[in-house]
Amino acid sequence: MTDLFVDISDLAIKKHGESLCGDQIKTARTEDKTIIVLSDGLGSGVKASILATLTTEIIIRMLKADVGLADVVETVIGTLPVCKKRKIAYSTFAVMEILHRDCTYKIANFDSPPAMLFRQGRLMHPDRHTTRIRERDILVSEGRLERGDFVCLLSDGILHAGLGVKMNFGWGWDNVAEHVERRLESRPQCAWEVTHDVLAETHALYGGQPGDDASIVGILVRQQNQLTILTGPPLDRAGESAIVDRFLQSAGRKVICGGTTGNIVARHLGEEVQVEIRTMTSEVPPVGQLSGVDLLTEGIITMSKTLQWLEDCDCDPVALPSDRNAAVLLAREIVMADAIHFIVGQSINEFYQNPEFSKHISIRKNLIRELVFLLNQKGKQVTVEYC
Amino acid sequence: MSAKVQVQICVGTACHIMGAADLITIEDLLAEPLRDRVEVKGVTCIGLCKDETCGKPPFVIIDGETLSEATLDKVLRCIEQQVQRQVGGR
Repeated sequence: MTDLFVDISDLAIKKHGESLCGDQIKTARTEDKTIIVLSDGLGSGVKASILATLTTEIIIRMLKADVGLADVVETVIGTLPVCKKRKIAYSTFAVMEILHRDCTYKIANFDSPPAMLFRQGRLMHPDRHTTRIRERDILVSEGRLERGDFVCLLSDGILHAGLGVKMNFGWGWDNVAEHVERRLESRPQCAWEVTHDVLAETHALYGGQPGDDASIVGILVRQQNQLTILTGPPLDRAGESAIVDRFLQSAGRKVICGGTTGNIVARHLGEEVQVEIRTMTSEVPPVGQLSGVDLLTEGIITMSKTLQWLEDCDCDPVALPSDRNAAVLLAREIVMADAIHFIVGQSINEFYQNPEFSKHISIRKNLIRELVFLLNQKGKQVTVEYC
Repeated sequence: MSAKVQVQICVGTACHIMGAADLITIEDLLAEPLRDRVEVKGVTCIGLCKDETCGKPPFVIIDGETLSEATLDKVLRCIEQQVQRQVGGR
């Protein structure tokens, strides 16, 4: 595998007045490949949502089982019902498969807007060919992704934005591509920066009342963002030094959660932790500073609050508050990372067993377990070691 | 002018839970003439919570003297005593 990472951000808005979104997006990463499916159920609301869900589920399952893309598309088209009145399939879709080995990709579009590929910030026009499967035209493009490439899969709800409201014919494929090009000029670090921008513009063009479900998947090929979190003093004091060394030499960003842990690292560095006392709130202890460490926070209280923020904002960096307290800063570090390694010291401060404290205070392991569960669900690569 | 009175507020987990966050307003509560004579800073866990003989958190260290179960009142009084001691010892 190359050292490239496929950063995926997907977003959708539902048609105004509907309770469910008729577009569905699903992604899956196996050891060998990344699979992305965007499906748009005909119409809107519950029926559209169910059909789009069925479509994405079938495609993802078959591709994960290594069935060839052509066979998958054939099965799905053969399975999907066709609207008797309009003679079109109940669900359109776009599928992208990226092989980790060499970053080659294949995209198949069935009645959905063609995918967009941007290289060095400019729209590319990769070779596309049409293949007929069960008397339906499937648009296929193939190639190899490079660092910095950006790919967009869209539903037609984005292309139709503004139709009859601010534009005669809607936003349109070419204009959306131009918009993305302009956004790419500022060299976004993560895919969500583009997807949020496109969806915000879509929402605005609809005048805040989308006339259709609209969804986008942004795929940015970049280096993986790594984060190592050291929390809790190790059980074996003799092994402290080796652990601190390994932590300080780890690749990517480095965060310490725990005052005592911070002191151990400070001793190792021959420094003192500088506490920024003004960042303290009634709910969260303050941030500290140590050279070579990107963030230093208190442990249990901060991590509990961070977990709460991550759940509340659904790991979406845009939904995080702009506060600079330790819990929000820690949540931001975690959200921006793709691969997170926790080094968890198991030494327990006896005072935390005090019955005056709420029960979660004493149990660092449980907190880590909850964090890991959430982050795995959000597609982060998480590893934990206890010491 | 003599050295400033050093006030170190422990901001570790136990101290925070037991009320250390209330203590950071101490600078704002100091009478005008005292403000230039006092330096307040936060310190990570100083470990006193692990030793029952040291009393209960939150802990504040004022020029080396440890205050347990520190409150704004207690800290203010201790700072004033320290300043007076410094003035008297000149």
